Amino acid sequence: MNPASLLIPRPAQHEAIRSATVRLADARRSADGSDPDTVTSSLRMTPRGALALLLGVLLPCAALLVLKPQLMAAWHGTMLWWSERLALPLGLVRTGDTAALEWRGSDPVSLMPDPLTTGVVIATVVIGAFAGTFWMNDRQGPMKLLVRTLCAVQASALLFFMFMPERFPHTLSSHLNALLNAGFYLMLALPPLLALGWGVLRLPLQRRLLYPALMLLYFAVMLPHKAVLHALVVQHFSALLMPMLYLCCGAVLDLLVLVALCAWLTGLPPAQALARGTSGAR
Amino acid sequence: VSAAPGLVLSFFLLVCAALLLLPFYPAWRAWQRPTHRQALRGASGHGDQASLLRQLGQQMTTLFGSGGPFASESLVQALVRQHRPQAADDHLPVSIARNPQAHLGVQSHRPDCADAVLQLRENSDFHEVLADGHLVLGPNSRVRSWAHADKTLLLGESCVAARRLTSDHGIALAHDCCFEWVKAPVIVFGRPRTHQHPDRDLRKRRLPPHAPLQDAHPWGPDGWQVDGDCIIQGGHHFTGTLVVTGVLSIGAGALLEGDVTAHKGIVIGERAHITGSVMSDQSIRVFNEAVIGGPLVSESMLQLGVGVRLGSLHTPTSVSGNVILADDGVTAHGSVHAAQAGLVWGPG
Repeated sequence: MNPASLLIPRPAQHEAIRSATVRLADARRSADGSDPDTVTSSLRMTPRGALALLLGVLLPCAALLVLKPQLMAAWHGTMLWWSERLALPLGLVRTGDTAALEWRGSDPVSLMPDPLTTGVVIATVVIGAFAGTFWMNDRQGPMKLLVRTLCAVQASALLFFMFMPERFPHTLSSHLNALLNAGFYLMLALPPLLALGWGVLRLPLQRRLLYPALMLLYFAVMLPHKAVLHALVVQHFSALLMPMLYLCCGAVLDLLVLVALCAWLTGLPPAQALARGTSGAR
Repeated sequence: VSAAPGLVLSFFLLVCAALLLLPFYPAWRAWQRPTHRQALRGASGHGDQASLLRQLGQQMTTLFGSGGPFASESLVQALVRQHRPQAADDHLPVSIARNPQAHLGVQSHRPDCADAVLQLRENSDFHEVLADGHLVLGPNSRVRSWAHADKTLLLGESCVAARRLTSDHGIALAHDCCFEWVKAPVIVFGRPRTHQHPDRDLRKRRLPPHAPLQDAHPWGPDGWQVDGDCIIQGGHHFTGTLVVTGVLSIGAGALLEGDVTAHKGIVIGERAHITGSVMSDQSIRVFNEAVIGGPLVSESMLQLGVGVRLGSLHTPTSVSGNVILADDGVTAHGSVHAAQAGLVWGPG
């Protein structure tokens, strides 16, 4: 028998296929045409949704801008409270209405370690950490990437401080103030970012307002603590770590935290929506 | 560090660690224990394939058969209750109370969700339906958009599933079901087969090697290209990739270790075993009890004979065709997609 003849369907099969095609087409047609709201509801913006979205952006941003002096004062107060207990030489300088943190200890260049001691130790750690990534398996890919990035930044800092330490332009005071400012602007960007991403999910108004507020509260608490941690590291280890702290553990870390929190929030709604729907039906 | 009291320093570091690490905890947890792999692990956890198929078979017999106590009680309850799903909110899915069994002809235009087992009688009609547990659709039911069950999803005779059917455990489609896209660790078309042909696992047998193919020239490192039609003799062992410009015919009981592509169609004989992928621009016909390990793709029609097995629990595969006719007891692992129409074809 010619094998090609085995591929030809029998008349009964032809008829069954035709019937199945019609039944499926009917079902598809009724799915597309029965309730247009169902099909496009997830993409349609209702007035109530638009209002909630607007409130979720405008209210937190306006509150942040209005309360910026109080927020900064609270951050400075928190940092000074911790610096007093951790024996950090941190103070506050007032110029007119503005206040800024001032590092009253040695400047970064004088904090520079002896190149033959701390510099060599840090270089050894960097080389060791970089070499260690070659033993990481594929599943540890994210960790490998992170460690290698940190090593690359720290290695460039080591080279810079090795050849031209006197040209390092930053002070610890400017570092801390820059951290706080960057943190504040990230907080300012947080409500619009959340509204454009997580905010498009269908959620009750109270959650739409509560979760961004909780995230802002988290950043308001976290940012001064992170700045004190930077000061502590530079004070007790080495100014060699300042570039890495600024580049990798400053605004970039804040952004990573924001992404992680957004992912966390986005993972929450379906279960809650279902639970709410179920309880409502009982 | 010695200048700072150790206790305060420790407390400060603890606070910082908590503040900085807490947001990453969910991401860390998902990295360590990815939930999207739980379905496959759960399916594998059933042990061997035979026991999983036996479970599916029992569920089908209970739910679609005439004598199961679960089914008969459910039918009575459904007739008495006349339960209807209620929507809690315009924007939320329709929610059905716990353990609703055998609702009579439920019709819904919005997403439906059930907490646990959702068992529906014949002629139910859904737009979208989601069940946390098992989902059973009675005969002649219709799913117009998608249906998902965290556990088993069973479709009675002559059901129509216009778009997606997904399950974390397994899906069974009874005779005359129409489908488009089915995705689950185990997919059974028609009645599940719990026994295997004694000679089915050809890799455990010592088959004579296939003679060199006529008019074949090398294709890649381990492959052969054949101009025109090609026949692999039944009961022989062929190793290597095969590209055929005509019709490829693989004899009954042949073992082919490699991928095959044929431009004008493929015929795979009974109990033949192909470890790799099978692809053709034209129709593919797979006869009874054949086994295909890799993806199976036809631009035209796929005819799957009784008891054909596609993929395995540990290596899920994808099956795709413009039209798919699946006979009784066809078992696939992974996804089956019919662009125009898929039909469970076999004895009713």
